[in-house]
Amino acid sequence: MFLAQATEPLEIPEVAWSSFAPELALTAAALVLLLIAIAKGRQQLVAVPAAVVSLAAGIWLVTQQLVVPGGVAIALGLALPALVFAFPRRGSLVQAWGAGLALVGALVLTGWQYLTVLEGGGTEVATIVPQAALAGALANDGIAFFTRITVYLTGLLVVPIGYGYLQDRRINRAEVEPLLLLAVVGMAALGTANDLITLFVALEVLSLALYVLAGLARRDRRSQEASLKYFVLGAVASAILLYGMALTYVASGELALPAIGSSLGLVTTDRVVATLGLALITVGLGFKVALVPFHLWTPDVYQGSPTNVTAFMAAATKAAGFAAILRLYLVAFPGLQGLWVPVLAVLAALTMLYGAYLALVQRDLKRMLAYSSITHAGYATIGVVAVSDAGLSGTLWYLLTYAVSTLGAFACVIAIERTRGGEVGLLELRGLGRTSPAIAGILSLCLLSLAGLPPTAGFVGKLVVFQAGVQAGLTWLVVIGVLSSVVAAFFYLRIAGTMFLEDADPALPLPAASSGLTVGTAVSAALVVFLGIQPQLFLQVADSAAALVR
Amino acid sequence: MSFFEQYGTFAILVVLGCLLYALIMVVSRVMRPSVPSPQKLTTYECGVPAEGTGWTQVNIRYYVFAFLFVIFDVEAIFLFPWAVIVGGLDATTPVSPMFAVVAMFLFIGTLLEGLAYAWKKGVLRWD
Repeated sequence: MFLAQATEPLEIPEVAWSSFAPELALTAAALVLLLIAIAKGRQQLVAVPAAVVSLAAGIWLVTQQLVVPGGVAIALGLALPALVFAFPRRGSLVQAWGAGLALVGALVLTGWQYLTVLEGGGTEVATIVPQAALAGALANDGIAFFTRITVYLTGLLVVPIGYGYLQDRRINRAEVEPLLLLAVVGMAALGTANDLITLFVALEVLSLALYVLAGLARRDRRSQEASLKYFVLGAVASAILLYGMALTYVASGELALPAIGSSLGLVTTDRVVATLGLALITVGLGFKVALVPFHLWTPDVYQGSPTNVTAFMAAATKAAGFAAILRLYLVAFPGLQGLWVPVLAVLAALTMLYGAYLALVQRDLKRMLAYSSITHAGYATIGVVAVSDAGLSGTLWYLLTYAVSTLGAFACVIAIERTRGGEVGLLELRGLGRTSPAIAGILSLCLLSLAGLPPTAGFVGKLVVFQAGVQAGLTWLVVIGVLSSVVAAFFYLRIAGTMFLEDADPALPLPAASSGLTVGTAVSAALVVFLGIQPQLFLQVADSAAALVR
Repeated sequence: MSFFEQYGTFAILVVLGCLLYALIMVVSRVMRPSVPSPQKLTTYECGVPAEGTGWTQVNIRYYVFAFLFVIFDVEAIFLFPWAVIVGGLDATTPVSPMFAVVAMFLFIGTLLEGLAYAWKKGVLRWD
């Protein structure tokens, strides 16, 4: 009987491989890097066959008129044996360079997607033509595209920033880069996911990788604590989210987000069950981006994790989480707008005030940055509750500016931590502006950007989000946002003051930067200034990102 | 029967159960003699005395083995529907048999890489 069924015409979804080409490339890179990690002395045995496969795939793609993906595959295929040949016995260098090149390849593929797949019309400002792929499981639209840029850029910067730090702490295990790549894939997929199942799987992929990365320093009790707390609380949040998704499915009978959206607009749909599902989903996603009642894990996890992982978590997880929030609320739950807009607005207000208030009294730099990241989740939420195209593109743009600023700040923390070991308190920053002006200057720049002062990226980010809030009539929320920015500016500026106005303690060792750290920090600082002075380029992209698959 | 009628029966059962429990406990408390002795406070009043602590650790390797088992168990779940379908594929179907075979072997290869990793890390050795 089963065989008889099998002869019927199969319904196989059209697979548009181009719609997830960057993720595909990164997954393959992660698998190959993991194989290289376990092939101790015989790395060429892995590198050469992988290169041959990659070259063959690349040449085949080029013959199919897909020059850019083919070129990326050929370049990565050639780079791999070259790396193994160039760095014999330096496995971690091969891993770091391999991961970095794979992320560059993913960025190139993202640009290619934008230029050939998404862009429509030959006007001056490119408009994104949204499209669904894989039978509606993926949405290639503005949110997906912009999340990819933010997440891949963050990953690309974190690899060089963390390289020297991991070696210093002797936690440069070969699994770091593959896990990082997998986390990045999960985040990009979270921005692309257009049905509940894909969304949940993407969330789990990124979470599982991050749980392991948080506990990277196995011998460090704080790292153990961070990993365990993140894992246990994250598992609970995932379960709550899953329950919410189940209830949403019960109410609407649909898994695809646009279908849920149209179903919830009908009168026949059970609104009570849908509301319950919405509430549980809010809890689950609020946990991931650390909105206030669900933020309790953030300080401990951010403080305990290795600093480069903290930087990655703060910058990239937030971008991915908000991508999911934007898509869920704007595509699947516009029918319940009267319910979630006030709730999220109150959560945003609480988040901004509470995060800024608690950051005031922190003495540890990493912990302070953790509370500051909570505050910034509040600002980004303003763009969500604005429920407008301006708010949507504002949130995406805000997350990009926040990512580069916080990466720069954490990179400076790494530079200070490297020689001083352990935690960096406020007192230890005294006089840093005189002893090592470069690091103090970049740290101040990034903190000013986090505070939202011109001419940095953070200023433009806040401006765009607040504008969207005012346009949507949420003036009270924007006033609270400005108030909390003022409070936040105090503790950011206090750090700058400690560094430049007080005398140095001669007993303290000077911070030291490795070459990778220097490059990563310089690029983030340059981006902070560039996005602050010349925001038009990316703002245009963000503006056209408001085109959604609905 | 309506929704609430079904649950009403259940609620009555729950209330009756609680009442019965309370009644039995009260009756036994009133009627029994009270003769406390330290012997009665030991873990087992009869049999061998308890030794060691209640905190025993299960070998972590069981966990890893279970994990590897579950991975390949789930793989089998995916293999069954694939095996049913792949026989019916030919050149006229939207997916060629070659494509299906390659796709499944890519999937199995990915899982095998996990096994190879575990093997290389010495997870499969018991001592």
